[in-house]
Amino acid sequence: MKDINKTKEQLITELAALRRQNAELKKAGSEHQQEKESDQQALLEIEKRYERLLSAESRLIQDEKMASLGVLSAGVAHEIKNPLAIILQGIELLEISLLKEDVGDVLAMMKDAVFRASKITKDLLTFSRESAPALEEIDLAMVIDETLSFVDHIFSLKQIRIARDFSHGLPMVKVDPNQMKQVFINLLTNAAEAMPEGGAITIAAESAKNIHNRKIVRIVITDTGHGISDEDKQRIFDPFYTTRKKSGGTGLGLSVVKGIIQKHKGDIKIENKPGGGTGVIIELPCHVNEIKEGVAE
Amino acid sequence: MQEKHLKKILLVDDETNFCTLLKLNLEKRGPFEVLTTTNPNDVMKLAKENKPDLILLDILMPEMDGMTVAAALKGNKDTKDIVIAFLTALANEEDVRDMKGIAGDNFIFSKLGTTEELMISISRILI
Ligand SMILES: Nc1ncnc2c1ncn2[C@@H]1O[C@H](COP(=O)(O)OP(=O)(O)OP(=O)(O)O)[C@@H](O)[C@H]1O
Ligand SMILES: [Mg+2]
Repeated sequence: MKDINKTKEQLITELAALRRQNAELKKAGSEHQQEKESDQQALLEIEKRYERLLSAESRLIQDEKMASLGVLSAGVAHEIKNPLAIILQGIELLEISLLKEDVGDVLAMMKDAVFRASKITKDLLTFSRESAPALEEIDLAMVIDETLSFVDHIFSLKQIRIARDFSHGLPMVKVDPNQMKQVFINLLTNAAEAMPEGGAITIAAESAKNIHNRKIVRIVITDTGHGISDEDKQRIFDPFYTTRKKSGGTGLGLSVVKGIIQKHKGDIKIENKPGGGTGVIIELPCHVNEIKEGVAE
Repeated sequence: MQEKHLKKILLVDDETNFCTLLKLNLEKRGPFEVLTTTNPNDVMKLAKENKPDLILLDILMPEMDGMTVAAALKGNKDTKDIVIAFLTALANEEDVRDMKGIAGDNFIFSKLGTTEELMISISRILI
C-alpha cells in the first residue's frame, strides 16, 4: 500500500509536469511539432499508467478491507455466539421445566431466533473469508441448469415461472462452478423476493464481445418484480444493505455475488427494465487460462 | 444406589451462566453428574480429585485456552486417560475442522447445538 502511494505521487507529479509542458508547447506554436507529438505520446502513456495504478489501488483497498472484515467478523461471531449459547441453554431448560403447552410455542420461537442469529454470524464469515476460486473449464449452461433444478420446485409453488433463453454449447469459461451456483442462487432468490405475488424470471445466456472487443459470455437475468429505486441502486452492492430486513434479509447477497464475479475478472450491472422489473447483466471472459491474483499487469 | 451409575462430567467454561444452565440441562435429562468451574487453573486439581469420566472444555477462555489445559491433562499420569471434548462457539464447521489438527484426537462439540444433540454425542463417547 505504501509503495503504491509513492508511485502514485510520482506519477501525479510527472503527469502535472508533462501537462504543463504540453500546454506551453501548444502555445509556442507549430515549430516544435515533433517534440509536441512525442510529448503527447508520453502524456498518454503516463495517463494510462496512472489509471491502471488507480484501479490496482482500489482493489488493494478492497482486499485490505476484506481482510480486516474477516478478522473482525470472526471475533464478533465468537462474541455473539457465546451469549446465544447461554440463551439457548436457558430456553432448553425452560422447555423441560415448564410442561405447559401454551409456552411451548413461545420457546420454539425463541429457539428459532437464536438459530437465526447464529446463522447470520456464519453468513458474515462466508462473506468475509473470500476464498480463491477453484477453476474448471465449463459450459455455463450446465451450471445454470443445475442451479435451476434446485429452485424450480420452490419457485413454482410461489407462482414464479422461469424461462430459459439459452442452449448448451456456449463458449467455455473457466470458473468455479460452486461459486457460480452461489451467484445464480443469490440472483434468482433476489428476483423471487421482488415478486411476492409471483411473476416471471428469464435467464438468458449468449456469447458476445465486450467493449474491449474481448470474447465473453453474457448472462442476463430479468424479473417482473418491483424494481429498484434510484436511491437504493447506489447502495445495493454494499455489504449489509437490505430493504428486506423484516423478512430476514442480511444484505450480503449482492456483495457476495459481486466479489465472486470480480474474482473471475467479470462484470456485473443491475438495471431497471423499462416495463418494470429488474435486469442483472453478468459478463464473464472466455478462455481465461489463468486468473491472476492481485494486481493485474 | 442410583449415584453409582451417574457419569461424572467436569465442565470448564469462563461463562458462569453457561455452566449453570448446561449443568442443569444435562442433569435433568440424563444420567450425569456435572461439576463446573470457570477457572481453567483449577482443572488439574478438580480432575485429580474427582476423576471425571469426561471433561468438557471451552476452547477460547481469557485466562488459558482449552488446548493448553488439554495438553496439561494429557501430560499428567493421573489425568491422561480422561476423555476430553472441546466445546466451541466458533462460527462454522470450517473453523471446527481447521481446529481438529490442533485438538488432536479429542472430540469437538458445538455450543450452539441442542442439549439433545450434545447428549447423543456424549453418550457415544462414554458407552
Ligand atoms: N431483482 C431485484 N429486484 C428488486 N430489488 C432487488 C433485486 N435484487 C436486489 N434488490 C435490492 O437489493 C437489496 C440488496 O440485495 P442483497 O441480495 O444484497 O440482500 P438481500 O436480498 O436484501 O438479503 P440477503 O441476500 O442477504 O438475504 C435488496 O434488499 C433489494 O432491495
Ligand atoms: Mg439477496
